[in-house]
Amino acid sequence: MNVRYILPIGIFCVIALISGVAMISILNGDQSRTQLPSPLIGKKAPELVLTSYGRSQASSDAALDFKQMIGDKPFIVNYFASWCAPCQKEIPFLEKLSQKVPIIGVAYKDKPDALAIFLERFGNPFLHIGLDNDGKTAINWGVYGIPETFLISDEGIIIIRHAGEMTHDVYRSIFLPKIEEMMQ
Amino acid sequence: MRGVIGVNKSAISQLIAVLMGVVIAITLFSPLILKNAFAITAEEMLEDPVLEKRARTISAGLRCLVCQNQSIDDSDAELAIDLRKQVRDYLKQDMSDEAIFLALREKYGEFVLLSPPIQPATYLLWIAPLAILGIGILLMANLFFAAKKNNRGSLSQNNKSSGLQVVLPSSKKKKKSETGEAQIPDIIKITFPVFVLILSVAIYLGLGRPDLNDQPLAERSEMRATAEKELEDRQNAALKAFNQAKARVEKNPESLSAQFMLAATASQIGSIEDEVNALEKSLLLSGSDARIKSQLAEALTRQADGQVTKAASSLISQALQTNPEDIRALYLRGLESFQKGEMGDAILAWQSTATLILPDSPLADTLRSDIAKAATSNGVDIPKIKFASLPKSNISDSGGNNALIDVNPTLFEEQRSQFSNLSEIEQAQFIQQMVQRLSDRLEQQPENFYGWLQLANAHLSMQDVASASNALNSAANAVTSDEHRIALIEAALLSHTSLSLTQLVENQLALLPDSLRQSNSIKFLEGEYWRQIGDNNTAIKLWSDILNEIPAEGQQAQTLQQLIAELSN
Amino acid sequence: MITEIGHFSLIFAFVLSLCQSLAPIYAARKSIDAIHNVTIRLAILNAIFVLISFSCLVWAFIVSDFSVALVAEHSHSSKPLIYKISGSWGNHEGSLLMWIVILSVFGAGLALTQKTMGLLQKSATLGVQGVISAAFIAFSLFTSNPFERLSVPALNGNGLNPVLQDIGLALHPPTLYVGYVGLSLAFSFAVAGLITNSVDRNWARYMRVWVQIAWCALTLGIGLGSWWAYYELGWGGWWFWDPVENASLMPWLVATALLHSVIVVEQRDLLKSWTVLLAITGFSLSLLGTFIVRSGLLTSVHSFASDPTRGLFILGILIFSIGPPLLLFAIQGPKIKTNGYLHLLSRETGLVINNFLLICASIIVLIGTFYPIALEIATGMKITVGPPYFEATFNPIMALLVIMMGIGPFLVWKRGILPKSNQIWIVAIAGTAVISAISFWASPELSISALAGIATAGWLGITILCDIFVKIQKLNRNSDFWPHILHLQWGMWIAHFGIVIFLVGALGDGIYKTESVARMHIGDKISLGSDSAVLQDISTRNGRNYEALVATLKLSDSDNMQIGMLYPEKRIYPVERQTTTEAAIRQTVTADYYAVLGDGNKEDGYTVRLYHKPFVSWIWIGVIMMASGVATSIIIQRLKPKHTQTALTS
Repeated sequence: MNVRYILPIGIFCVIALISGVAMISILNGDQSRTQLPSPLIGKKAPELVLTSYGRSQASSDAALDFKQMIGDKPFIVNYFASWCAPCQKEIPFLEKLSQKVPIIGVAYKDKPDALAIFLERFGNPFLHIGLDNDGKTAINWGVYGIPETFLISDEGIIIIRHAGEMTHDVYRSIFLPKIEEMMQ
Repeated sequence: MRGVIGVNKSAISQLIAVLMGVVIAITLFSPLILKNAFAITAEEMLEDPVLEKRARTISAGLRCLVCQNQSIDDSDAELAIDLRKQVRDYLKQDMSDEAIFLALREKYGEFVLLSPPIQPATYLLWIAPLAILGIGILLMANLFFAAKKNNRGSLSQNNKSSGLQVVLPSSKKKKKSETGEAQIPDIIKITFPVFVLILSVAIYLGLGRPDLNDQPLAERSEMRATAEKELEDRQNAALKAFNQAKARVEKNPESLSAQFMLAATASQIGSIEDEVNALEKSLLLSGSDARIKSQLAEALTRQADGQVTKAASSLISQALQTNPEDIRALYLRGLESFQKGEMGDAILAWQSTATLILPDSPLADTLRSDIAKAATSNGVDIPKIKFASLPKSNISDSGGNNALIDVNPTLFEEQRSQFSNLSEIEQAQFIQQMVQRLSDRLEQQPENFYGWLQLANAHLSMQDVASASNALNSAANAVTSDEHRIALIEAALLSHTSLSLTQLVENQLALLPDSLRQSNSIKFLEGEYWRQIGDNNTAIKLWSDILNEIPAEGQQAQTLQQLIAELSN
Repeated sequence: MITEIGHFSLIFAFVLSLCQSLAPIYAARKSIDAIHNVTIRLAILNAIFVLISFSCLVWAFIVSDFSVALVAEHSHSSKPLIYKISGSWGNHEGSLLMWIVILSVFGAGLALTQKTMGLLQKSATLGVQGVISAAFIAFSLFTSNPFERLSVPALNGNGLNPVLQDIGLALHPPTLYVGYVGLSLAFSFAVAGLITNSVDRNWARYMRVWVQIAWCALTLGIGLGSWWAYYELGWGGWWFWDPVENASLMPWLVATALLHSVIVVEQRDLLKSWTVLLAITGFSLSLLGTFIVRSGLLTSVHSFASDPTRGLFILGILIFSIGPPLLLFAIQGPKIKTNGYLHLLSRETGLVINNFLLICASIIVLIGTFYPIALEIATGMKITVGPPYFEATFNPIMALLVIMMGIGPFLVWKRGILPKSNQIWIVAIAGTAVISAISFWASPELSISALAGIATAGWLGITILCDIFVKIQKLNRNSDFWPHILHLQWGMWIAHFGIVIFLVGALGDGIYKTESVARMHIGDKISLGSDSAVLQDISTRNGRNYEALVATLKLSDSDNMQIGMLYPEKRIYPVERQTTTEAAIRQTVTADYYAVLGDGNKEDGYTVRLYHKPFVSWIWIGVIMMASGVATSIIIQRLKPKHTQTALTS
């Protein structure tokens, strides 16, 4: 009979303990938990079927040929737009990264005129820019907001996906080490 | 009627079986009964109604990733709309429902499913309801059997805890008691309320603000009305000035001063586009003056929401080439490095900026916090910041190196060279405007000592002695150091002599520490003071004292001798 | 002055609460009954000072005293008076103060009424209430003080969010809080009962009315929230299984269980320890609900880390209000004497099953709500537990509950079932079958679960009507019809029938609603089932602080007779730079027409969504009925002549 009366506090202690551990882990937690984990990591990068920016109007959506463009080297794909404030803030860091690996930019639901102003104002770190006007390519890559940056290995596998602004910290502690590792 | 004994196990087990059967039946067959409504637009709907229905069902099972617990079918978010279209595209490609869910799961992860699928991570989730039901049924069965056991024995108790009785309290803290008829001890009756009061007052004194009165809006309405009216007046004046400047520019588009005025007034009303355009024009007209370059760079940065653009960056470089001590350009260079993540360079640039300004200007505070941010971002200690010290020279000779009021400094100091290009009337207007700006800002920051001095100066240059005197008196209230005092004395003496100002000087002199008062520079000032109130003898005496202590061949000695000579006549 | 008076009053109330919690202990030790009386009077004083404090805060909002930091943050001189007032509790600090007000008012309520309650028990209960009061006032004073001042008053306030200026949103918190906080008194009864070892039928009798009041308010509060979501959020839904909603549902489910088990204790002296446990759990869930929601933990794990002091204090309150009582339960629980017996076929069993199903349901809601967070902390994996999960698990249990509700009233206390009940079963089952058949025949595409839903609702409705019929007949046959009419269970009938009405609404809207979407130019027509609507005009309208784009829709039925006009709007608030959609709802007893204006322009036309939602208002009518039922019960209890009340000493 006594079990009946001890059970509630027993259950409570267990729950309190678990919650306590959880709270501590939250308080010490790392920032990467604020993003959605991407299931594409470790898988082959999807295609980028885009209209090229800057080419003549006659060009239509075509799948970018990474191999032809870049060869067997690692590269970065960055989803951005001229109307997106964090995208402009991360350009300096993308410029730094572009000196190590080529960057392909995907302009998400953007207009060429606005894009031109953006690039002139803040810089153009991109080897090539494609326009994703309907957002389909973004969905293919599991993009749910911009900016998002992907690091892809020389074998075409997605190594890192960072959703959100590439801050100095992210550049320094997430992308740079991995790139340097891959360069060796 | 069945008797108690007649209830047997088989009845219970039948009951349990029936219950479980019903539960399982409903669980298996219960998809969405209660659905919510939809956010779909007309264009999205497919023509084929069968496909469309499938689309709706699938959409209702997918989560809108940027919303709070909504399906993409319900949400108006852009991502939701795109995903809906994607689902329909998949359907047109003849994909099955499972394939579509799989495709999206592969891209977005489990999170995109509104209802988690049955997989190892969620076994617990899906088993839980059945487990709980099962455990509950077991517990109830236990209850019944236990009750039955109890029944066999006792059939007539119930007397124990019915009825109203004051049970002997058996709480953990109590002992046996007798009757509770005792009275409250008198001492408790007295000390208890006192204790309560004292404790409350003590806590209140720690938390409360008995010094502050209520400020219901109605009583402040007059003050608010004046404040609002002043704000409105200022805004109207700024707008008027802007329109006037625009008109002037239209009349003389090639006039540098006109463009410049336009830039200044545009900045006042916050029209960044106009400001940038006007500055660019000014730059052309001025023949690429470096100081306008740095101003334009600053405006461009403001235009880009605080980010240093490529154009701004090159302007900064050019400005710094011409004048490596351009405060604005230096600061922006620091900002640029910060935004690029080059914290070391940022800190260096900002430290250089600091050496050019005075430690109590508002820019100084910004610099302190910026440098701190850069340092912590880099993980280094915050370095010491060295500021400019008090210039020994006369305040009104600014030479562009004095404290700035803010990053967008009063053009009064900076554009003195451009100033001379304006006509007299324009100059007067210009000064008036700057003065207005300055005095507005000072109202917000009455503790800005140097600001008051500058204001006094400005008033003096407009021959507005009264306002100058007021400004100097306000400066007296903002004095926080001996250096301030000295500067104030200087400024007061150099302005027009008036009774209130000599009184001011006398007070300030008296407040100086003796050690300082014995110094030569103060003696000089004091001498001037005595001269202004008419006591030439004391002036001569003081100045002679100085002469005794300085080298006789120096410039200063000669000046002093001249002054003494003038007085003696 | 006034603000400071308010501040001081709150502090004074804090000290009083401390005394209120210590006095019973002192009184019992020294065995001085007069001090027990002091406890009771302290509870009243406590309420008075807390009310003074709250009034001062509301006054500060009314006169827009911007030297009070809270007013400067959350109010504005141009707000309408009613929203100035409701703004006082539309924020963390103010709503916490309201919580405290209700807490002490309930305590005072107990102090002033129920004079026949045992002195020791009453004092102990108020003592526990004092502990809760002290803890909350401390939380307010030391971490979330509403009376913080600004030495330089702001020029004007910051609080002009248009979405918050809404009557539904203004009334929702107070009502909900009366519910949550009412459960605190049940908690106090439980803990005091354990301490004084007086968990018995009298204890239940005195506790019951407080549980009823709390339950009424909680029901109305949740209903109000749901109604607000319906007309404000613009897509016609009324329950989203949102974590915040779930946080209020869980205490409600436990409170419902408590409501019923308290009856069992009073009538049959059974289930006593269980009822104590329920009371503790109910209040714990209230605390868990309000505070976890407040700290944003349910929406993002990281909001906790960003404001640790408040969160830790809350956690502290949670641990101390759940842990020690459960410990007390472990120690004192075995002393509670159970001496009834439980016959399988009896009303007690019915209520045990009722409790069981309700607790299962609330555990499921708890698991569903917290599972994503737990999984994320444990494995980093993010999943969604959304409406489909809850509907698959919660609805079947509720269906079972509804079925049991049909059987329950026919069970008798102690043992057995009503005589002649076989006839009732036949009528009920037949009736349900008929209703199901008709529904199926009318709309053959109904899913099994939809049909099951209709069947259960029908079952409940018929059984209640049968019950009423039988009991009135029985009374008729005996003499003294009118004096004894109060002895019939009107409260239960009204409340349970309210559930039937609610189900009609939920099922009607869920199963039979129709919807049309179209892009319309002026003059276009959209059809909705057999009805249709014409977009007659798009115009602009200027409101107090917004500009609105208004569509004029003319609704007509199949014979082209006008049903009514709808004016859905899209509002732009320039100062706050917000756009809101105001749905146009035409409510009748049988259905709502619900229109929403979407994006568009004159050339391309505007997206218009039109819904026909049968019986949807019955959802809230049902909720009101449920609350009224319990209210009726409370009133009837008071009206019953004393000598005819069930004697409790047998």
